[in-house]
Amino acid sequence: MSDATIEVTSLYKRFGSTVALDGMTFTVMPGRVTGFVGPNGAGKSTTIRVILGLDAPDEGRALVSGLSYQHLRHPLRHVGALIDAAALQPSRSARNHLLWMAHSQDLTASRVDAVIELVGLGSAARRKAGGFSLGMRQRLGIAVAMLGDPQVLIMDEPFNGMDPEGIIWMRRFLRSLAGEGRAILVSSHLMGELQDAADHVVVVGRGRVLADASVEELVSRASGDQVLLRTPAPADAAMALQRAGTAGTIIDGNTLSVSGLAAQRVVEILGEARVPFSEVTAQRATLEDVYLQLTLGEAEFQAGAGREARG
Amino acid sequence: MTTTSAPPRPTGKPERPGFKAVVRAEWTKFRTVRGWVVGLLVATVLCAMFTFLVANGSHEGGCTGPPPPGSGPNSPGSNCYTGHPFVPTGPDGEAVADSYYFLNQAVTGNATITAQISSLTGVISTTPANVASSQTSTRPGLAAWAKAGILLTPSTNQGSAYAAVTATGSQGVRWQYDYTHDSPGLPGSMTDTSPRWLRLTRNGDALTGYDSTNGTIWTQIGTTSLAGLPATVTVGLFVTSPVSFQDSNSGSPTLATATFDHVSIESHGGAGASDAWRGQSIGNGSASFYPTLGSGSYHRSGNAYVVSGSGDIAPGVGEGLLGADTAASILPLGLIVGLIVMIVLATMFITTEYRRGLIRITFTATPNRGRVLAAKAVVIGAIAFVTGAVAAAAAVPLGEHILTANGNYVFPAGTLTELRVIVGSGAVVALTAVAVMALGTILRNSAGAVTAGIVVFALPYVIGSFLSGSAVEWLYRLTPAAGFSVLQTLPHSHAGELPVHLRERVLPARPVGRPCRPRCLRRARPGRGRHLVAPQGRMIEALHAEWTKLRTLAGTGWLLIGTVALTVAVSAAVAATIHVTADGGQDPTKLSLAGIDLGQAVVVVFAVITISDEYGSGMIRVTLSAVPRRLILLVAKAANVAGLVLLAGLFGVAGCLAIGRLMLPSGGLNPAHGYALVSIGDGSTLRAAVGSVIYLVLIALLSLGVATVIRDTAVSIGAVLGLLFIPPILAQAVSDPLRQHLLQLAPMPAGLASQATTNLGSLPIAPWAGLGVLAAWAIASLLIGGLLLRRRDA
Repeated sequence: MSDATIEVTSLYKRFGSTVALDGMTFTVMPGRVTGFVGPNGAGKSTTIRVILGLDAPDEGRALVSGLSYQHLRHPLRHVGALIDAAALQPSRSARNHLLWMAHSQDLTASRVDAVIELVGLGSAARRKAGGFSLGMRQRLGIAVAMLGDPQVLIMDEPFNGMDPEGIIWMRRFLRSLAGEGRAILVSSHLMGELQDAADHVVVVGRGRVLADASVEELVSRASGDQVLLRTPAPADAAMALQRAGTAGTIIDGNTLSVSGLAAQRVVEILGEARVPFSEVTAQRATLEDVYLQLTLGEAEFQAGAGREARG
Repeated sequence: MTTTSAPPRPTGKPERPGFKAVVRAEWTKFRTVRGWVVGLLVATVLCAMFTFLVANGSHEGGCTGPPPPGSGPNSPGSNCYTGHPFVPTGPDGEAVADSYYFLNQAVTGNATITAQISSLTGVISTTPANVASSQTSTRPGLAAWAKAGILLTPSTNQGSAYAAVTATGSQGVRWQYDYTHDSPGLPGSMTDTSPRWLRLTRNGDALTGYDSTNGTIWTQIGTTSLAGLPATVTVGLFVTSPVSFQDSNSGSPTLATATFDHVSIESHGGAGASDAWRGQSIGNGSASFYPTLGSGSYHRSGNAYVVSGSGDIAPGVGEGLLGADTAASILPLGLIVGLIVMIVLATMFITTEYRRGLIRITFTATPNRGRVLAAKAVVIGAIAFVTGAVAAAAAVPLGEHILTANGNYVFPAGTLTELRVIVGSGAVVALTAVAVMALGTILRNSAGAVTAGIVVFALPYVIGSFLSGSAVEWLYRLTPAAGFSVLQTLPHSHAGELPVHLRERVLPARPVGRPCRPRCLRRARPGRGRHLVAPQGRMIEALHAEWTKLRTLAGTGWLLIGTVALTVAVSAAVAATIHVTADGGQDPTKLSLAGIDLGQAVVVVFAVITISDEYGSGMIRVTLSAVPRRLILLVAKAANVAGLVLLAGLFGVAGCLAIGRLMLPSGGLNPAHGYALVSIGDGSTLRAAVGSVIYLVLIALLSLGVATVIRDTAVSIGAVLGLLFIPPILAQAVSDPLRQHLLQLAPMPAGLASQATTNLGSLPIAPWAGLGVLAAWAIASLLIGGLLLRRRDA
């Protein structure tokens, strides 16, 4: 069997006059959590539906571990998906909901009980799923995704409706799954949710990829070595920096912002010039900033399609 | 979605939105769903379309008069015509029957006519009204409304004004004038031992009738004034005798004979001499629509006059003799079709709120829940009223035009009557919509509300054909179909009969075809299904998963139990009400299986929701991610549904046959009347039983296919029940060849042909061929469903 991957290649799809997918291309690699972010309507859910064989693209293809979804012998043993937590028949119990799916994959009831324990629904498993809270439904959805112990996991907005405790549990859970070598795709429209969960991020807007890079890379690219300097002698500091070939901008009374130099180098320059300082902080952009920057750019340069397509 | 500008705050009262605002919000909710607005249009168009179909399917024509020489006594008459025979029009523009024998003379000025009726006897034709009657094939019998008396009229033209004092067969002496006015005379009937005396006087325009038992003490029983009465009028003795419905539903013509004694005319303007009498048959030619038994005659017997006559002087209801086409009579079917659409819309108007929790938002906007419900009722009621009224306003003139163009007689109706029909149609639709919405509120579930709504309307048409006499009548009175009586534009006949035309239209024609013994059942060829699905493992897993899905829903068990219970219950109800007096003509097996007609509605619900519920909840995406091969999924669903329905069908049919065996003999279907007990050992009964089970299975597959195409529960159920119930109702309303085609090709009548065990030669389609037609429907719907399921995004 080939590696656990998701390969999405130039997907195009229109709904009437609306372009939903406009050349969507990316790959989800095993062993890491790939965040899939973009504003509402960017094409995230459509892409996921295409991967799962629910929607047919006008052009392009999506392969899971090298195969199209329809050709997977037991799809849920290869791909686990959490798509819509509310998508269940309310009068069926959680356990029976899992049971029919287990039967469709030639799995036994013992696997059902195992995933129920895994997501912590043990006490509610025999209750009607219609009465579940949003958080419980989300857990049931995760149980569905984990049912076939798949190597590829697709989670559409898994943090929706979760309490802070649940979100922390979810992040750890995703990380540990990635640690086992699985390929994990997690979509979200909130970058902040992915900050500590994802290793890699695919940012999309208007049906195409705006950025596809590791979190580390994206953040550093966006921060551009901003250093914040607090000093009682801002004028001396500015002069010293200027001599070293960098500009420092005085933000307020005794705070300067320095760009283009690492924090280490700033400390050295100040030390050589004997300028006193109380604080030197390397300013790291948050993933949120990167996201806003990217999507803002997307809004400004709508015509320049694919300009930043590959990271 | 709704505009929520702050309502003006009423001073001194707690702030809350006025009822008007709530109604407006609900109206906005309705009109902003495009599918619903399109639905209204569809309802109107369907109503007009089906009215057109019914009107276009009715052709008038027939034969009257004596049979052609050399043909049998029961042959149609030789005077054949297309179009309708002449129908007289009364003084108020209404259709009337005006056929009688009149022994009269002209009298000028004020006059008094007196006569004693000493006997009144009659004969009833033993051949039905649509066959040329002959005075030799009769039996003695006097029609209840046979009339003999004194009549005064300005003219002997049919339809002219008149006044009469008359003895009747069993309704005592009556005072009648201008066809629609009737008042009783002295109590008690005339008999041979107590003859009655009648007197009619004219004084200017005033006419007065008197009744007496002895010729000396007179009691005035009625008076009227006929405006513009000429100086010279025709007066005399008349006898007439209407069609009797004692022997057959289609009626038999009758003839009455009366003996008039002590006849006198006192005229102040110029006395009539006894030799001035002139016998005249009014409206008895073959050109007249009213069936008569001969044209009447008179002779003198001493001082007495013996007069015979046949026909009627009455409103032209004709008990179906004229057809019963009124501007509105063709409307019910179109209205039912439109109603089905409206029922679906009304259900969705409330159940979609529950489905996705919109009701909570509605209740936060308007905390007073009673108000919300009232506003919804007002909005859906008003929408339904307008739709029904518009549909009727479009359909009535259309239907009238086509009927007339096809040579049918259309009873004249006044503007007010047409207005009542239009408003009444709107009211029927509105009340139905509100009732169905209420049901939807109670059930919170569209499947139940739509099914109940449709079944309750279709019920009398569907099972009415199995019930007899008073049971049918009660069915029409108690079910909402009673609302359709607003479409009646014919005056009630004084004969007080159940409107036979309705019953005739409702009774389906008995099925037809070649007899087919069970040997026609071809054995399934082994091994054919093997190549159907290549990956057997996938299929088995999909089957297993779908089976788990079905068995873990409580609804599955209840619906299957409901199928069995309803099937058996309806069969029991039919068996309990049936009363057979004559030999032959009934099919005990088919009667036993009558419950299938209604039980299938539950099967439809069951099959539809197995897929539409998945679309409704969005679970279809989960299902398709587990079973991405969509055709395998559909086949797995179909197999499970078919298996479960097969099981329910076996129990239901077994129950029905047991009921038939136990209960039918007490209703007269016993060996004493020439009926064998219902027995599965009988070849054709076994075929009917097996056929009924297969029928239910095929109906389930058809429903599954339709639901796969449509995806919405309410719309799918509406579509399937419409497809099942409308063609048989339509078939009752149209004539051949459309009727024949409908019975051969529509899924329900064709499929149910398999239930017939008698009269197989007259089935429109042979039993197994009928099931084949239904199977073709089921396969076609599954194929289209499968194709769309494959091609569409989930």
